[in-house]
Amino acid sequence: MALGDETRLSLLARLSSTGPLSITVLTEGTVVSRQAVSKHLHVLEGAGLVRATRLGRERVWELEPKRLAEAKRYLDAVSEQWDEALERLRVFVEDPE
Amino acid sequence: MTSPITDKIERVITLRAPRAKVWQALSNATSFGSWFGARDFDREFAAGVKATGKVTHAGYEHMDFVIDIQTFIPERELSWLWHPGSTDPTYDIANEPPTTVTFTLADDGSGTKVTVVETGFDALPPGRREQAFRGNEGGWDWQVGSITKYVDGAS
Repeated sequence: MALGDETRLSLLARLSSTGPLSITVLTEGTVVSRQAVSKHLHVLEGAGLVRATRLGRERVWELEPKRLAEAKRYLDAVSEQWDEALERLRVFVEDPE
Repeated sequence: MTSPITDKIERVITLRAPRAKVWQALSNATSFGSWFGARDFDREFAAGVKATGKVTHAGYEHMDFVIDIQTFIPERELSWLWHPGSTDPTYDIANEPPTTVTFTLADDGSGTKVTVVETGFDALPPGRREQAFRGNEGGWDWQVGSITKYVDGAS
């Protein structure tokens, strides 16, 4: 459940609006600890949604925009498929007007 | 609309039909298959049953349609595990984590509110989504064609 968490969603939102950020900066403005932020970032990394890179002496986190776009496109397509299935269910159970 | 980025899809529809009739369309393997697009299930649906049928859509008839039923609460809830978008017979998805689909029924006036939730997409390995989408590109088309046929056939 890489994205099913408020903290992870807000981390993604910040990274998408600001670009790469260090864990120190990411921890500022959250109510959770640096360790918790780190844990959430690693979950997101495991899902291929963010990656860590070096910027000078610092390690920074950034989005994997391609992967996020893929995830969105996939879920949109699956949602459409469900809408279509539910319309067929409607035809199956409803009496004609 | 679905939220753009999430582990979960949720869809809600209100049908002009009583709960008993909607449940019948969901829970009877033959009825379910006729609107969903599958036939020849080897088992009737029940809790704990793994039901295997065949996909009915043109061009995909060689494929098995498999659902692993979790909950079966008459007129209230039906849920199953499955592997979404598995239309590529050369790609082995059996070891991937499944997603969970849950249908919930509730009265809505004289009709029935149906909620469908599918969860578990984030557990799919990175790259799988894109592969699933590409593998299914024809799949989205056959679904649309199927509705048209169903509607035409019903009129």
